[in-house]
Amino acid sequence: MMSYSTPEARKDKNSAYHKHAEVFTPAGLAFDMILNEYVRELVQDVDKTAFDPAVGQGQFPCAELVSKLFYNIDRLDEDLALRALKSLYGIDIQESSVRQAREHLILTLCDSFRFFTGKEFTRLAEAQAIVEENIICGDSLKIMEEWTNPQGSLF
Amino acid sequence: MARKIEVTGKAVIYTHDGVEIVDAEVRRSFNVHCDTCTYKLKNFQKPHILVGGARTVPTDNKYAQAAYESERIEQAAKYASTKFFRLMLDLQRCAQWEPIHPSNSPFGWGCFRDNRRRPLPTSDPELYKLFDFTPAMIRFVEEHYNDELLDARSAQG
Repeated sequence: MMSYSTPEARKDKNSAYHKHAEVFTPAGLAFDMILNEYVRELVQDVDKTAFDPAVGQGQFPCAELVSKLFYNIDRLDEDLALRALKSLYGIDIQESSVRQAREHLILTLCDSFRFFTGKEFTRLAEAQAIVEENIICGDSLKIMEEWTNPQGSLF
Repeated sequence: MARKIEVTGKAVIYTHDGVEIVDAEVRRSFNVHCDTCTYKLKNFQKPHILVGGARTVPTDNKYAQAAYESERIEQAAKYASTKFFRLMLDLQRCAQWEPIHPSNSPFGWGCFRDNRRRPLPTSDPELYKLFDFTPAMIRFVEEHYNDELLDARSAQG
């Protein structure tokens, strides 16, 4: 998967880079950030939720998912993997990106579960339902305005 | 549609010059140079974990690029042989990415720890400690990347 916009894409005035300011995060950078001590509490607690308001291809939720499973490897089973997946939220304005992010998360869940446990992940229908619920298409700024409480704070 | 999102007190912000990890409370005074970043950040008011969202990673700043270039090559050489490094490549593979060696990554692991300037240790035990690996995680890495064990297993067929 291409993880960030190429120089060619940045030159092309019709590219998603110019039309939607769409720039994807480099993979190593996503992991670097997720494992950094400032956000490590996010991956140590499997139920702690994270939200990416411009989820793109799902680089961040995927890095978070893998890291959450790894940091909880001593008790990793399918239930825990689904809980980790359930804690990840994302919005993107591009429908194509949302589809990619959902697919990316499911593939990542299967691959990382196999890597850490040596077993296949079987509860795919449940995982699919979770990503369809949590990764949605829309304008995150408008959606987050709906979340804003009367005191004017987001959370 | 309302969702409850748990929050904490740090934000991670991308700018044209790379990544800054700042306390969300000071975000308003943070000088964001990128239109995209400004657009994405303008409605955030409370501390929270913001992952992605305000990102514009590629940089056209040749001086910043050169600084990263020299640092990441140095970093890569230092811990390329560690089990930790091999684990990181495999974690990237799990996430369906082509693994990126730090020397090919725009930043390289650890380059931006504490505003990108504190070097990472190069021994596995120190890395485990730094990243708060649990005993189970250490056991997994030590077994998974134990070359002697792998050689013995492959010799047994």
